[in-house]
Amino acid sequence: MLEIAGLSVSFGQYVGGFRRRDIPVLNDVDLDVDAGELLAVVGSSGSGKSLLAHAVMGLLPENAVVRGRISYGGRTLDESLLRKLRGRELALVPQGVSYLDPLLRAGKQALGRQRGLAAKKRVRSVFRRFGLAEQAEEMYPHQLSGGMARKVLVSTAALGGARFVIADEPTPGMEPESAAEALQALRELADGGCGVLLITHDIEAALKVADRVAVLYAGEVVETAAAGEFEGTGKVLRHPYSRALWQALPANGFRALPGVQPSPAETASCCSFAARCPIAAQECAAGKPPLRKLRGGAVRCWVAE
Amino acid sequence: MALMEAAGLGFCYGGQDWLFRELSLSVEEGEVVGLSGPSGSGKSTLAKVLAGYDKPIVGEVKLDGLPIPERGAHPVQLVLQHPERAVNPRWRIRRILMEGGTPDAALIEALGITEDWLGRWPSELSGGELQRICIARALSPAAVKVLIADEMTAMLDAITQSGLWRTVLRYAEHRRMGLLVISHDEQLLRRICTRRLKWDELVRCARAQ
Repeated sequence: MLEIAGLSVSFGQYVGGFRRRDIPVLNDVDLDVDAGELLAVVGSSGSGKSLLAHAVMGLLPENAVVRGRISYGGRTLDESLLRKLRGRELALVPQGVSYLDPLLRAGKQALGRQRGLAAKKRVRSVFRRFGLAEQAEEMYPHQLSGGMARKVLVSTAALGGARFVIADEPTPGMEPESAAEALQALRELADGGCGVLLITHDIEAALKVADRVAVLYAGEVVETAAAGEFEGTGKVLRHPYSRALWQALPANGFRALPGVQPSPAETASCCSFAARCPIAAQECAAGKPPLRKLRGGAVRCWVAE
Repeated sequence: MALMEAAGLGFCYGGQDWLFRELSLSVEEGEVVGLSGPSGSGKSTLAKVLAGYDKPIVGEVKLDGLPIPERGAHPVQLVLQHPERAVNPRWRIRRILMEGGTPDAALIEALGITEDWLGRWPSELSGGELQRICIARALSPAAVKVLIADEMTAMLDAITQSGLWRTVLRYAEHRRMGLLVISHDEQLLRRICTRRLKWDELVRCARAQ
């Protein structure tokens, strides 16, 4: 449904007067999402995951240089196709309650420009599907809890006829119950046939609803894996970074990993993880590994078997 | 005697209902106390009152049995969830970092703060990098005895989270500080705390007294 191939994004920046340089932020990203599938993109802050969402939606700032191909339903997702689909078939679920109109009741808000009894009935049925009570339709945004607000945002996307939804960090700071509810609403969308791209730093939350997970590091996809492969000590995972991320969770050992994520510019010609990698070999510093298929998933690593 | 002791605290925002009343809480030297509870219950407001951002309407916060001095660096420091809201966007990192004094060089190194960050603006660091600056800033005054971490790592990935906590816990233990950790993350609290508190119990106990 959505296919991203070789996507690279960099920002032109002026340094000291008129000298211009390009700062790479995403490098050679390959991803695909099917109808009815929920793909979670996880990574640390600064790994480029929000930019990925913005690239798909055509919301990158003016100074961004984009290479590679994004296609939707087999067609190149260019400016003119985006203009037709964005806000209708293609929807972005933003981060929180501040994106709702504070003066509009939730039910009316979810309706958008639709009018009439049939539309109202649709709101009721969609709200019910996402676990929002009838009273929620009459509430103003400030009366909604964080979890309810996110559900209203997801409902709005569903009512607008979205076939593909991108949700950018829908849960931070929410208590576990509300976060689970908001994510469940996304799962419902996928079960109804939508393609869903969930972008988050919270791997535990993502795993509860995702079919597959793509792990982003320093602007690159280092692994795609089935959600179920994140279990136990993480030994079936393909990339050492994915394993380190999994083992760093408080419930899985709380292990630290020395060093910091490099900027993509620093690692243009070597493995971006080599400097922190416990299994790095000589070739890892000498060349950039390609993303290759491995055991039903994909990995960007010279060493992984 | 407790390192930090709050007794009979009550707070409300101008003319509204009490957010909490008769709340008592203590943190001992070297303790890591976890506090969890529903959103909007007043945990973050309590953190602000303890750290001196807001004055309690009733009750008092004491340190080593004495009232907290009005002048100088506050001995109870607070680190928030969103570092970008806790720094002046028009200050360079160096100035932000030095705001409370010169941080310990070993701490700077342990937090992974590098020289080339110092000349940048806050918007040029990632959330995780900026949070390291906020932690170093909070820990730099010699007077600091208690650190309150209000969802300090909720926005960060697991690796950054475990790294920051390991550094903070080691430093706090070394200086015999007390820590109050506010979080929704059960697993995190279970992992790092020496004692756990639930907001409801805190308030109910206080009412019963």
